[in-house]
Amino acid sequence: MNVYDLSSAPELRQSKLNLGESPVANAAIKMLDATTFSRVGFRGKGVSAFLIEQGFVVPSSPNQSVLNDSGILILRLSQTEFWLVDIENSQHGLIQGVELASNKVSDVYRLYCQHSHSCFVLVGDDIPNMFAKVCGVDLSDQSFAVSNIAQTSVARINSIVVRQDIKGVDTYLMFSDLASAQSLWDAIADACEEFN
Amino acid sequence: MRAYNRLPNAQGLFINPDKPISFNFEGRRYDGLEGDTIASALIANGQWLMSRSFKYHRPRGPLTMAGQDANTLVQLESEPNALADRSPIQSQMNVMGQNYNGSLERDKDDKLGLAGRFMPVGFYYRAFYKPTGVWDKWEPFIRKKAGLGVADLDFKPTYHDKAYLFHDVAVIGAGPAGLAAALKAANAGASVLLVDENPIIGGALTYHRFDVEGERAQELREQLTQQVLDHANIKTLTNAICNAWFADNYLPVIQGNRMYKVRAKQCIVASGAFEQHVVFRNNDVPGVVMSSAAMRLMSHYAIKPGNKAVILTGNDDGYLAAIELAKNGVEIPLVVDMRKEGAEPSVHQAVTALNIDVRLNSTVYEALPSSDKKHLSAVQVHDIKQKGEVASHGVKVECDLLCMSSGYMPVYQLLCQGGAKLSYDDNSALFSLTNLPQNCYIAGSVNGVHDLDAVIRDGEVAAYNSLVALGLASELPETLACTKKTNFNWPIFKHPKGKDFVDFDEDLQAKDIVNATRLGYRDVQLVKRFSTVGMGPSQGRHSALPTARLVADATNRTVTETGVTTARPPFVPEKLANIAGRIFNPHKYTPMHKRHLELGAHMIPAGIWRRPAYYGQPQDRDEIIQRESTMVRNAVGMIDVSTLGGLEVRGPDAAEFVNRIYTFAFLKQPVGKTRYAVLTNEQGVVIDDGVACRIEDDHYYITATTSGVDAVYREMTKWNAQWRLDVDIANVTSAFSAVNVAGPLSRKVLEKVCVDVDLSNEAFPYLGYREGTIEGIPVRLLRVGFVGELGYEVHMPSLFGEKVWDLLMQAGTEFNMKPFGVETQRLLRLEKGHIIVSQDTDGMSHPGELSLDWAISRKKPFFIGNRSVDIVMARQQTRKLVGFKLDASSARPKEGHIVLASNVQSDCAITGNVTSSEFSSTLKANIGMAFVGINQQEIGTRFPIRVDGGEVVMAEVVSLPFYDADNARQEIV
Repeated sequence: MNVYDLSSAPELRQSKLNLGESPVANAAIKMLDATTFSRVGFRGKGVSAFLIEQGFVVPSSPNQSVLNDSGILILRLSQTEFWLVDIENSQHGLIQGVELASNKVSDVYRLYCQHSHSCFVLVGDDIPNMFAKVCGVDLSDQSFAVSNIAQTSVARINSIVVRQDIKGVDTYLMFSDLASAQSLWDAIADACEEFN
Repeated sequence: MRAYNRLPNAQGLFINPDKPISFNFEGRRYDGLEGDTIASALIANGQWLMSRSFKYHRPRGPLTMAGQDANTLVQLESEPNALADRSPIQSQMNVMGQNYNGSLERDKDDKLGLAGRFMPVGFYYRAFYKPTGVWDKWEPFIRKKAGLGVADLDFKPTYHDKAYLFHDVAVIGAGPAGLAAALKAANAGASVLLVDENPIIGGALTYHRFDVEGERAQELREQLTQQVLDHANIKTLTNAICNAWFADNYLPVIQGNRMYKVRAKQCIVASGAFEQHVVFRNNDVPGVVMSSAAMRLMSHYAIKPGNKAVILTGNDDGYLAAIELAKNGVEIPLVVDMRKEGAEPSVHQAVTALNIDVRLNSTVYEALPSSDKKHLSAVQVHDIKQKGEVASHGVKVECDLLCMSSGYMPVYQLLCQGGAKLSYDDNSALFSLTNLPQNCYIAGSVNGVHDLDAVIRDGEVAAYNSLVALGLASELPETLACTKKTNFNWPIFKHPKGKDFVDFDEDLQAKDIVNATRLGYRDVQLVKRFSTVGMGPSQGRHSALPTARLVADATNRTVTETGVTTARPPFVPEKLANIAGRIFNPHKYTPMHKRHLELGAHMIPAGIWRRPAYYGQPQDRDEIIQRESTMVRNAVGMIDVSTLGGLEVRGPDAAEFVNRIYTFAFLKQPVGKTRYAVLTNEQGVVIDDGVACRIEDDHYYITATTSGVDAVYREMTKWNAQWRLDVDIANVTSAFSAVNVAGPLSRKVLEKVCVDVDLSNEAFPYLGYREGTIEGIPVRLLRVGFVGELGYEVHMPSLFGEKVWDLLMQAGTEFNMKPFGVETQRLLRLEKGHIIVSQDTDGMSHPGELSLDWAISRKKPFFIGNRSVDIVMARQQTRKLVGFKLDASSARPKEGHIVLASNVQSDCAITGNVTSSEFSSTLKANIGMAFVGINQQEIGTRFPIRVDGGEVVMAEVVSLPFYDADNARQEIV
């Protein structure tokens, strides 16, 4: 038994979003629920060195992200907080390996972002205009460049918004409190409606 | 219906002649064109009467054709008080006039004006307040007489939302100054937002005649408009109102059903100026309009505003309006110029060349209505003898249109909201705005500049100033001086018979303002409040200046000394729906939410969460709670406790940190054990509680209350910012879901799914903590006794929440296990005497009052609030939280019912209140907890509680817990 391994049993993870007949399924802005995709987070003074030791290139400053060749998106949320996100849902073993490697490492505290946060992936030309309806931070192309991260409030729900170029596609990822995922999904879907 | 007044050879800028639209006004069908407002379409059909005045029910028609006056308030099907000169016509819409008794055409109250002398300003303040309470009788009558609009109480809310806009420069007003400013700023690389209230940009260029030839406006408008619309750096919002100026250029801009919250680094206000009316008798008769209104009708809507027009002016703009009217076939018998010197020679010559007579140093002293009082038929023109006085005899000039132009007042409202100061030069009658807010500039006529070339240049100068502030390179344009004198200094000609209106909204005449000063209201702010001048829908756009002039004159001061009333947001009336927008009301669901709904749970809010109160219908509440309670006491039940707060403290100093935060001792807490954790604030008040699990020497997992966890997390991080202990603190509330499997059979249920943990009493005793797996899912197990039975809290990573719930429910089937809700849990824990912080505590509750002395370590040197706890507990105590009991037959107290000092003395003191109360089928009695007076706390004391209906019941203090005092239920094998 190793209860440290929160990456275990990925096949049993369930996102409880009730997507139903979501208006965003075939909309100008497409939104995907990637909540069950593997990810892990770390916080602590030793995390940057730990991740480099594990072979990752980490963003040089907070609120920046880097996408590596394996499809792992590395978010630097503060000087000492990093999240690793398997955005193509194909690198579970890698995520799990990094998590297990962190056990007992000094100044490295594993975070529970796999289970504390939902993850939505958004693609579409009008995303900045959509965000302008639900978020008070300027997420326009001019102000929010690729690789930027905004830790802000979206539709009154704390959210981490990431802009990243994924295989040539301008992509936005949103991470927010898992328990509020349905509220946020509905609010985003509603905000997307006018761009259909 | 008189005629169809469209100009045959003109193209209105706002309308589409190819798209006719029919609508109904006062039950009659009218034809208009797409782009018409209700007012323009009605005037096109010869219908000038649109509404009645508020007080005297006088006939009213459009004054400004720009939504700046209350003369066109009409009733739409679902909306009262719509401005007819702003609201576009829609096919088959039904529009009614307002403020009449009977019909608009035949108002039964249209003679109220004859009794005007008995209704002086403020008369109802003085007439209807005695005897006490009589106002309540008068108010409905007065309201009915006023007419007003009718709110549609069956109105279905429509969709409104908000959006943010971020720009380097926001330009408010797309007239010539605004267009020039926007272009210069955009050309220098700034991102520009251009806002205008009209359907197209251009401002005065869309209707005003700036030169005798009448060519400049159109040329310039077409040139600037094209450049602006084609510019990649300019976003244009038309039909949009900037409704306020807030600090740091935070601008609410309303466009249709959306409110934009604009954040601009720089703001240029090019809001223009309001044309001002002339005060004379009957200046409100339909057909008396601003010159700019007539120009708008012709240019925007291709409407011939009259057949025979008199121009009353105090500037050259009136002459230019006369030329435009004449060009469009309106006969102009006379231009009445209030000035002695008249117009600039070239302008004067252009008018006289059209065979238009000009009379200098004269004014319209009285407008004469038609026999049915509904339209202008003539004006009485008199020579001006001196300021405000006219010769006794004049000439009568027949006309059906009178265009007034006495000058302009800057649209100062947004700027004054930002702290700008409006000044007035009593000699030149011109305004200036100073003390502008930071990063805000003005341009054009709002800046007192009216000459077109100077206006354009003024816009460029404002843009330059903004660009400098933004750090963008730009050349400073050379300022052009404006010598144009636009304002006549005293366009007020009081008439002995009155009806010389200063404020059309409130039917306020010149004498009303003067009388207010004679009654002692010398300050213009007091005049406003006493007379209500400027308090109507037009918010003083036309009344502020004549009021200031009249008050100044009556009090021997200058207008500058008198000032104008304060401008406050919003600039125009706005709907609450715009302010509300799309309401975001986030809520949280546990991973098992869907299962609760499937099981028929009655869901209730628990802070931001939704939780099952119980499983069944609300009408069966009491029975269900007793049934669920009995199930837990006798067998096993399961409750979703995922909303419990979760906090992790990790690091070398974790134990020291927890020891400082909570009242109990934690340094020596063994690994694998849980401990009750009480949190007090610096005032010694209990603000939260939970269970601290020591997972490892340097790792704590701590639960907190559902509603309190975020505050606890904030407290923890705040304190450690001071303490600098080597710990990591994480709020893991959403990361872990949890259920509590409780009851004497709970171990048997858990054993079926969790096979890698020895669940026996010996291996996993009460208050123990263990980790294991359920079908490969890692889980944390806490042996707790909140509901007073053998029980296990199972905490699992949230994405597994529903799966673990399903597995446990399946395992519990053979034991007939069912879920129970939070209200049942409240009863169960009440029987066990466990408090719920915030339900059984309040903002004053210290540990002593709650009998939590046992949870405070006196051996450790510090915990948050320790000094205060010592102090408040050392004081003479005034109350105590106790358990109480009543017979099952007695009326059951409710939470919040008050505890009295005496059951016989009716005016006795209140000594406390009930905090928890429920019927216990286990104890077959009504039980509860309550704060009681310190003299009422002894076991066996009977104390009175006032329950519903004022009945007083006597409860008996009993020792806690009510149930299983020796904790034997935790030792069940």
